[in-house]
Amino acid sequence: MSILKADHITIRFGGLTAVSDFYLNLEEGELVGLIGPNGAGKTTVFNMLTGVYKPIKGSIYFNTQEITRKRIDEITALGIARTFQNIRLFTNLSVIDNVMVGCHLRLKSSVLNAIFHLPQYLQEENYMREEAKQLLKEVNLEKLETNLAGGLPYGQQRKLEIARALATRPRLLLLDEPAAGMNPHETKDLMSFIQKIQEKFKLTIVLIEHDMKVVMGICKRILVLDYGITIAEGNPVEIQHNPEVIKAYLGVEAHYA
Amino acid sequence: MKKVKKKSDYLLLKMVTILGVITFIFIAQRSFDAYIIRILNLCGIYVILGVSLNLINGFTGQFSLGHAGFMSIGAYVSALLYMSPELKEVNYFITPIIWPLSVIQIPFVFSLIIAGLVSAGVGFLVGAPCLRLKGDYLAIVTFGFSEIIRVLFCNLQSITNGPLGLKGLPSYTNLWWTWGVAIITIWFIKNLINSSYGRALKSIREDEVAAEAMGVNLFYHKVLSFVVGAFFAGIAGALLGSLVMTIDPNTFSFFMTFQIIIIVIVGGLGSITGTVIVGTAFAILMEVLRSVESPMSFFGLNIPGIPGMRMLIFSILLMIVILFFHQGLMGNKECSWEWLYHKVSRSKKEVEEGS
Repeated sequence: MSILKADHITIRFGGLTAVSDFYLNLEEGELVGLIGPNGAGKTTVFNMLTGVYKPIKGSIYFNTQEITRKRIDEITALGIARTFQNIRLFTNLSVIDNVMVGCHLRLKSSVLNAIFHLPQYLQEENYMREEAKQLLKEVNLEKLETNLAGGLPYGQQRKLEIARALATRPRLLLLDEPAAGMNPHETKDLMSFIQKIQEKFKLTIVLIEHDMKVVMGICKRILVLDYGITIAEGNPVEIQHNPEVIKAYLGVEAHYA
Repeated sequence: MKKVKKKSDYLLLKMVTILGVITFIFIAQRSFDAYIIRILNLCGIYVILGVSLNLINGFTGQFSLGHAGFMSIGAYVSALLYMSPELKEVNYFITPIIWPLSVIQIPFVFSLIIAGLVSAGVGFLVGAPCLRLKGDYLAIVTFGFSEIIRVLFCNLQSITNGPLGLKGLPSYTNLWWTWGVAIITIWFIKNLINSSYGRALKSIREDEVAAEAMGVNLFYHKVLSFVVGAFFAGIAGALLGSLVMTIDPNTFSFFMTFQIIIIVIVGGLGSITGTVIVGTAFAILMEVLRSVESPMSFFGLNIPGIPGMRMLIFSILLMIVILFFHQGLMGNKECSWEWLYHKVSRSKKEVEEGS
């Protein structure tokens, strides 16, 4: 079943066409890689899927529901969560508070209910805290829950960001360069971690990544963007031997062969 | 084994403190002289103002300069409701007051609540379009709002009596009102920011883009904090009106907002404790520092009284705090019972280990 369909979306900033005619049909449970040289428009695609930018042409469907013009938080509530290329945690909040912000969108109690600490709210708050603790356990941060998020080492911040995204209970998770700045050992951990959460939370994942080991290692399908145009699509082997891709990455074809 | 202290263990401590405060107010109201009571009243009002502005500026991270406008609305709405028809007739001797307002008189407590609600309503109307703006732009627009209110009140003669203001207001404000409302404000806003909604507000302060991507409805939460802040600012304005017994549109100038901003920044953006401490200290210093404005002789040098010298000193204090305590006195720390308990028990333990 198709979970997300980006139907030929295009966006322009001034005279620059950042992404042109992008088409993506995601099946439920897929793990798709999105690669391309710097400035190819990968993050812009994420921003359109999550509602940060509105495409000027084309439309986006999530579970057959059109989400092209919806607000960012509405889209998140429907089940698309993301992480950011340059980590965007709430640095002055504690680790567990970061995750609990992700639970907030499911809160049913009204503001007054929350202020007067009525039983309905307290119950929900406890439930949210439990859920957040579970997620932190998932990313091995349960011992650090009262630490400030900004004080964590880089790799743990990445994991916390993923936990926070999972707290919104997404069906589709968009990871923007999760392995950036990690050493080979951490990267390896991350690969198995991504596969683990995909299985556990029954996620569909789209992954932007520059580390080819990660992309080729865990993605079944890969899309290559260059100057906003999708230049290739296929499984890792096909992509590795696609002359267009080699040209985009290396410029000269002869050297590679 | 470490014994984990539960919330209920602090209940006794809380009760004792509340009883202590009530006793203090009781004694103060009866036996202190009028001048000191007035200063204590101002302390309470500054605390309400500071805490409500801290909710908007410190916890939600929306830099608003509109607090004087909300105070003005609160002061006028309540005054128009609790003044007696005869008093209104005396006040409006140039342009008569319009009909329904000329005969209305309701008890002080209801006028306070209505003042807060009207102020909150205006907060919603102003906040809804303005809170799409960020940083400096929001500051300018909210500043503009408070100026608009001032000019409007100067010219709506048949409602506000224009620049003549309202004089001889009945003096209802006493320590029970100011400190009572201050405690309710602190309790209300503390509970708000410690709830899930409060986490959402803080996440907006930390990173708007990420907060929205985590499903926080930016518009709803920003307006929420603005409306709650405006509500308490309106009530504080009403209390101030009845305390000084005379209001005119220029009472609530930008100067007023500036004072509250000083309290919030010096106390620490995002710390209710800091705001309470500095709000109280500010009200006291405002009086104590009156001496620098009076003429004095200094090593044979005669200095004439300079009105406004107090603010110069406050500006210097503000600069010192910003230079040496970047986060204000308290940063975003709070002083809670748990925190106090840990401090005390730790120092006790250190003493025991030391001996």
